[in-house]
Amino acid sequence: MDVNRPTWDRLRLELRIIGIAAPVTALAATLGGAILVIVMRATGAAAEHLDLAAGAVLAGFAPLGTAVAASSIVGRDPGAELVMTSTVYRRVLFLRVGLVVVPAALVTLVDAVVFRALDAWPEGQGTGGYVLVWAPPMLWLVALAMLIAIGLRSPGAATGLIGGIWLAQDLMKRAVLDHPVLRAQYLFLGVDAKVPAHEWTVNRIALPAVGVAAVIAAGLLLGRPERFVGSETA
Amino acid sequence: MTTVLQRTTPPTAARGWWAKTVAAARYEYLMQVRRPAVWVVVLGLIALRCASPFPPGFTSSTDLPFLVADWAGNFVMLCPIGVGAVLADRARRESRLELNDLLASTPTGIGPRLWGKAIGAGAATITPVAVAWVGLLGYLTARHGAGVIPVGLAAFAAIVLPGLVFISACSVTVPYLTGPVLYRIGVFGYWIWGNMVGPRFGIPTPAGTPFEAIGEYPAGAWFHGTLFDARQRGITPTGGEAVLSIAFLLLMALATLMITQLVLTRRNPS
Repeated sequence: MDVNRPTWDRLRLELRIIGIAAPVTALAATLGGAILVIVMRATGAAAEHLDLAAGAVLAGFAPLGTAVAASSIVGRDPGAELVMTSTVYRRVLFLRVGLVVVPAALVTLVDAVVFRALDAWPEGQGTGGYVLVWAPPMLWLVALAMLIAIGLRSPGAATGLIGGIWLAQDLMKRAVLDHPVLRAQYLFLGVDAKVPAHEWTVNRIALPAVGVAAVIAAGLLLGRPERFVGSETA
Repeated sequence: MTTVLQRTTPPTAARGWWAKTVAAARYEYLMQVRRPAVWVVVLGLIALRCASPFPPGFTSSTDLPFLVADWAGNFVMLCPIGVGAVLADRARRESRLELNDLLASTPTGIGPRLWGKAIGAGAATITPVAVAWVGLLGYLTARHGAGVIPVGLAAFAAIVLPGLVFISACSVTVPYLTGPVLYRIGVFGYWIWGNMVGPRFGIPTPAGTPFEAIGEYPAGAWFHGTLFDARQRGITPTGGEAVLSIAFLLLMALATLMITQLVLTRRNPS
């Protein structure tokens, strides 16, 4: 098996190394949220509560669960130096992140289609919302969680900080929305805060832009993979 | 040579349960308090919340109990998520490093190791909170005088500490069952549901009752602190309810540790 090519054997091997906890955590958030919305619909919840719940699952819980799960795979190689002798560690880690994030993203997309079909849909969102409601926050959270986890060599730190930032955005919503730079980084725009169309567009561009910058920074940090050799998570 | 080999303290095997627990706690404390992630996460979350303290305007109050209670509320709003996240990997650490057999061969049993981990690692993770609180008290003392210090220490003990002890006890025990990844998302979900989703959302929740962990009852009963979820329930906490709230958290922490010790001892009877 060529370790530098993503063959099926290689993907299966990486999935076994990742273990069950990370994919389950990523999928639990998005599937659990979908069940909640379906139960609310079946029990006759008010339309505005239903719309809010659908938005919270898509823009909030699914991206957060995926980010926590993705960051958990950092520092799991007891023999990291062996992996590094045969392949580029950055490639290995990004492949593993992909194996956690891609299924979660696909399930979240299905959630969005189902929610809209059930008429549980954030107010004012069009067809573009199938992707734009959840994908930018997911990229932002996953990328920053990975950057923190790699930078501090600690999945726990990534979870704590990302979870705290996520919650702080909600708790400090007024202060965040009043600040133009912070508003561009607000995860729940269009779901629990209505703004003019151009500000929503800026937000949906700014979130992935920061996400991509974080991915690049994480990649640069992984250029020194020896930091992961022979030590516990920090 | 004889002098060199002579022990100044009895060997671990000859020492009692408490001495072994203290030794384990000391080691766990030093391990945890030296982790950069502990300081970055806990101080980061406190700074994040205190950057825009809530409710607006309370910082200009001259009512000292109210002032410190609301500062304590801001301290404890986010940081338990970080405390839980950085403690979660302690539970299975020995197993991950394949040290279980080695540790089982030592005279220190499962009990002292578990309690030592809970006390030591828990105290180490709460250390950044205490340091930040001391810093805040220094600032408030400079503005309002030394009268802030006793009120501030009491507020820390009554409002901040019980919730953190409860979260710490859960974080060194529950991950034995769930693993750290699921636990971290679980503790996050618990913190929102159990402490911030008030009754107005129509979801059954302990938020606003004495069984929440955010310290609202002691803050309201003893320090005239701002009430959130309890007010939604139309409750003004009494001293008795505040005692119940603290006792509940400490007893739950105790129960969690005792049950875990029982399960681990049954699993490894040696």
